[in-house]
Amino acid sequence: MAVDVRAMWDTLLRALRFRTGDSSLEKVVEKPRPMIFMAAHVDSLTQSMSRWITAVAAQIDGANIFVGQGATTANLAGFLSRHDGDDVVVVFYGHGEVDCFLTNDSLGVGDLRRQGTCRALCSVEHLAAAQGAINVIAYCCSASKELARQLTARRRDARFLGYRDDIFFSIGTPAREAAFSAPMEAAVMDVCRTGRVDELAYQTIRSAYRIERDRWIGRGEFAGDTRAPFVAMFLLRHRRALDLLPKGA
Amino acid sequence: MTAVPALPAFNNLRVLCFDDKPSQRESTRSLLEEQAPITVDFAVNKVEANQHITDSRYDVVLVDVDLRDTEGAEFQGDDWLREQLAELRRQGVEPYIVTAQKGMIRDWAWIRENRIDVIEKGPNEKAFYNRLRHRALGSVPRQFAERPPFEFVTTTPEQEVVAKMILDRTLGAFYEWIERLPDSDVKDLYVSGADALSPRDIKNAMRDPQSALGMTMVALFVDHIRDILGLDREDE
Repeated sequence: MAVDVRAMWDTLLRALRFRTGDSSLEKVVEKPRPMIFMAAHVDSLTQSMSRWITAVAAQIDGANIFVGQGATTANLAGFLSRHDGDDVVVVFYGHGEVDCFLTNDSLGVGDLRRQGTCRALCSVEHLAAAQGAINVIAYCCSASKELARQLTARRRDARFLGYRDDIFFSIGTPAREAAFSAPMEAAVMDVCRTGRVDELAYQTIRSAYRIERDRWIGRGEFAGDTRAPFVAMFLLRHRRALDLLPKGA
Repeated sequence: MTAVPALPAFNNLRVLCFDDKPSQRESTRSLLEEQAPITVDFAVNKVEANQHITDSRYDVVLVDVDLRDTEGAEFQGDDWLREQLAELRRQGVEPYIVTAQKGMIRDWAWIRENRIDVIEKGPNEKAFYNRLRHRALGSVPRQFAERPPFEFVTTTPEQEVVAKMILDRTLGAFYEWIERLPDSDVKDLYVSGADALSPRDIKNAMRDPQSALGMTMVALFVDHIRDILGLDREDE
């Protein structure tokens, strides 16, 4: 059986980076893809997620960051328009529904959603409008169910890493927030390096979820936290709801 | 801030297994110790069993019905074993007799007299598991025990028996842990697309057997334990 040395090396580097937090261990792609990072401020969870996404984007040269009032449909459309023809990466953290990402009602489009507090930040029409290959990372509930399916059905060069079901969170301390932010951060950094959402990124985040969860059960360093069972249960839920479209991309 | 007590019987579940067969000991240890935060002690003879029961406190004790002493005599019906089982009950421990094959129990009068639960493969296996499940949930408030039972993925029969007992007991422990959470109003939990929830909200949902949120929490916990026990290998 042939040994894929490059894949083994990538895996080793990812493991080292995840354990040490040292992103300089890896090379960046020669021509970085244009990347946009978006997160709305809807509630305390999305405020935390805004901090997480800002911290990730800060590690990436040239990242376009739109959080809070900047999480608008117009800003997303403007980014895609500016990079017409380029292969792009869209990263979204926040609330989602099966067919869209959500933002505050005054910043989005379409019908009111989520008990009348939100509208769609984007739906499949907005993402499919990109002219180059589009890579999407969606840290939100359920968007992998319809939004990803429709996008990858329309665009053969679209790739989508998200969740096919509701995902849950227990926040309130730095350790808990890191438990939920670190796995996705590892995947985003992988995508930043390779320029595409793929099986490597998918496996990276799955491994990272397992490593994180082990820290909250048994003899793990956070097993004594007052919310440890919740954190461990929710991390398992994240791992199981994770989805990559098209399959094996 | 009031400290939340550790989840009982989850991180510290202790199992004593009377079994002299190395292969069975290894499979039990593999299931319980390597894949779950549970401590298993083994006794292969009376001396070791005496030592363990005197020195430690166990949640579950499993006795292999085919166990023999060093002279080859069976423990089944043995006065020593009767005394040990009585001592375990005084400690509040439920002992179980495990048989790998139907028909291994020869002295049912002795079993009944000592009120021992028998785990035996056979046509009544499912009924026994249901009874065992209800007994395990007996310490849990009635409305919790009324939730529908859960299905299990079968591994080996013996491991499955142990897994079911652990799952039932840890589920009961999970309810107790939720009940003992301080009534904090801090809304730091996000479950099922709902707005932020506090431990009080979770507690109230768990008390309501009709609550969708309560059922979601139970399902999440069962998935969590099944994963720890390695019952969902298709996930990998």
